[in-house]
Amino acid sequence: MRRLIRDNALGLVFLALFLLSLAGQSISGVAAFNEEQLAGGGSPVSWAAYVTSSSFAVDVAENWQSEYLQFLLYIMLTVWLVQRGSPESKKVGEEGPQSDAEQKVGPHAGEDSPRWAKATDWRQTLFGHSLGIVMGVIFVLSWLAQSIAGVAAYDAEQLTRLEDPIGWSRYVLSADFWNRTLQNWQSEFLAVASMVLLAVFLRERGSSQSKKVGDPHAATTSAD
Amino acid sequence: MNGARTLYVVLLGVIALGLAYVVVLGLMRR
Repeated sequence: MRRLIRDNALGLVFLALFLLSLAGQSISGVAAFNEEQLAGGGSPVSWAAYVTSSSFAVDVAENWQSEYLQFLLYIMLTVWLVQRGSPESKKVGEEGPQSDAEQKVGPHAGEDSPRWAKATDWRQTLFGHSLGIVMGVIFVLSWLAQSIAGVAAYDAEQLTRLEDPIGWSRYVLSADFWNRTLQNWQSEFLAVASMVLLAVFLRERGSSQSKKVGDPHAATTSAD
Repeated sequence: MNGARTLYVVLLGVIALGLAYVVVLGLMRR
């Protein structure tokens, strides 16, 4: 049991942080929602009503989609683009999908390589892009989910303002949809640029995301 | 690796359920 926890500490801690934050979001969210309700002359809603509302759903989904877009772009762009000196990057000159030998696929696969890495057909191609595909699928689905919950929340507000509901096709072109989308994207891209560039010159001793403290600034990976 | 595989499946399950939940709330116009 101790071994199991230690071996999976990173994943377990982040899953726990996710659940705690989501619970916190629901509690502060219903408080903020009710403040607005009261200010607008409406009646407050219960926690249970709030967490089953499209208002809560759209707030969750808009953050999800931006995180998955961030990781999707990071995964895909780091195939082709490098940043000299960054531990987040491959070395300059290693751009591209690399050779089968370097990637240990097909006849170059080892005894303990995953089964689909040993394959020489479509299975190798699919497995070789599975991380990007799954991140991309989750991004597209969560962005779509954001738009579906978003239009429900938006139209509900329209009705309280005695205005007409706008429907999904107009909502995805609306200021509300793009404001929610872009305010999340901008912060993700700033954070990634910060990670890529700050890690060239700054260190965190012992972190897998940092170069060794004594590594030169020009060293792109710790192995340099 | 069994622990990691369990977490991997749990994570994908949480994501799938979460997305389905958001879509259902939206479609029900709650």
